[in-house]
Amino acid sequence: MYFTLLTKELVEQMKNGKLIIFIFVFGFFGLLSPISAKFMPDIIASFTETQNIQIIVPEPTWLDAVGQYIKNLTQMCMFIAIIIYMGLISREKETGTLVFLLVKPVKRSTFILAKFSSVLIVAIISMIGSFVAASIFSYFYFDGFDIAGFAKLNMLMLLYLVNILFITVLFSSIFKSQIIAGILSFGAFLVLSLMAQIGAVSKFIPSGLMSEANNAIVGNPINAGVVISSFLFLVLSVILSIILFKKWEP
Amino acid sequence: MITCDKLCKTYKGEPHPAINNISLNVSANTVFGFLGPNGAGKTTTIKILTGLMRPDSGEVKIAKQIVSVDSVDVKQDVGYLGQEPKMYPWMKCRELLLFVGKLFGLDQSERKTRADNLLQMAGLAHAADKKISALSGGMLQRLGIAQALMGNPKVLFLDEPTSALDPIGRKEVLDFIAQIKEKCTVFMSTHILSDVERVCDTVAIINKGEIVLQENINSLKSRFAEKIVEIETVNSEEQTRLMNILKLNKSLNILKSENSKIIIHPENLEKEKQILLGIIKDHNIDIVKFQLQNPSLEDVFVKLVGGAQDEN
Repeated sequence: MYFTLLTKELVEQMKNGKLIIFIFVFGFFGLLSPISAKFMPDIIASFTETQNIQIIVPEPTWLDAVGQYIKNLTQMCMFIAIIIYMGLISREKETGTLVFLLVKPVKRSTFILAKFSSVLIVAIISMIGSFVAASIFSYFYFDGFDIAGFAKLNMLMLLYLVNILFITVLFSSIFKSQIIAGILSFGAFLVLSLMAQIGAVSKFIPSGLMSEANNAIVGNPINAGVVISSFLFLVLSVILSIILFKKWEP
Repeated sequence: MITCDKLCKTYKGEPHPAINNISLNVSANTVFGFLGPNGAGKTTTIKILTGLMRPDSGEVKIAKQIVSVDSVDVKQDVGYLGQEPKMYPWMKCRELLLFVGKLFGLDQSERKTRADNLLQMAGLAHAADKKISALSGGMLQRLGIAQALMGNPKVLFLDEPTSALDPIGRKEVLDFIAQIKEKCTVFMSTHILSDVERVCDTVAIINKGEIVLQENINSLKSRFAEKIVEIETVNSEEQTRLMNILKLNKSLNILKSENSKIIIHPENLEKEKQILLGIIKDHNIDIVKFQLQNPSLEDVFVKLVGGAQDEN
């Protein structure tokens, strides 16, 4: 049953374009980060040369590319991820296809697990795509690119991305309106991002993974507490979603 | 096959219960018509019977198994089609049936055979590879019934299966229900009386969340077999004039008045027939028809439910 629902989810996301868009967006920003880091000095120079202004931009390094990569993925990509998945369950409530499914011999918990799993699979594929695209260009454009450190960073980013997606799916399972689910998910994303600025708190929330990603790339040890608490966040999102979804009535 | 005992459900924030003390008993291999005006509680009852909703109190059993929200075993025996068939529009007809077959745990060859048979039975064999989003209303409804039958259910729940259809679509769906009634028990909610009269064996009437009656359709009609009087006037002005006169006579039980027709259910046929003829003659009412006839299910329904409706 679980695999039937999971397959249906992935096929549906393929057919409605969500999966392709998601992978494309992550691949695109993965690609864009090293390219924009590499050519930014040239772009700035082309703007300023006609105006007789001289701006000295230091020679970009692979760390600039990675910095750009983190920025792109944690801002633009997370926002797009929420928009794409805010209707994952609530849209099925809105359109009535959920009733079609729940009168069949389908356990509600299995349905929810299939939804979360589909999102997890898409996130993994997208992050791999992004990682590969960024690695290839960073390797060719910059000297000393640390692919192992970059891989570690990507795993932390993946964990963060999955947390944001799971929160979005959780809200989508609670509310009938995908707009409300999206607004609350975006709100949660903002709150988590702000809380990451508080040193003590950031050690126990998923957004703290971003500072750990910066640590990973410069070779500093990663705080295991953030990673463990992020995994707990995931488990909590799934459990909460199952409990609340069992109470849902059409 | 289906029994429910004292079902009650009140929605949050609503002062009155949506259904109150609903008890039903549906025999195997019959078509059961669940009849009631809009908002009477039909859909709420069906949602509870199919395990989509929890009752506040009471219990439902299908094939002797208790129905609950996560009762997978019971749902193995149940097929359901909601008021408007909501299926995945991106799927093709056969693809949907195969998917439903998988949910019911059918093996691959059985899935294929059943899907093809049902497409044939629903008259959709030619549209097997057509996307659901491209189907017409009637085709969609027939596919909806086909998917509800995919798991080989013992009980098929149909919630207002014909209400959104044009006359041709309605006929197609009713013919389809008539075909399947030998294979499983059909529980059909509707407010269209002629549909019930055409395909149902037993009927329950629900009004304001309460069961007014449950009875075999033939015995129901024979119980209300007293003749009714139908008077048709030449125009609506004459009908209004006659109505105003009849209203003065409190002993007359006027069932219905519409356009140029008035239908009366007499307590004492001979006596009231004479009164009516006398009124028509004395007031020189211009009529085109004065007929004694057997009541239809619609007349019975109006008699049982109509009075209560009028009070609102």
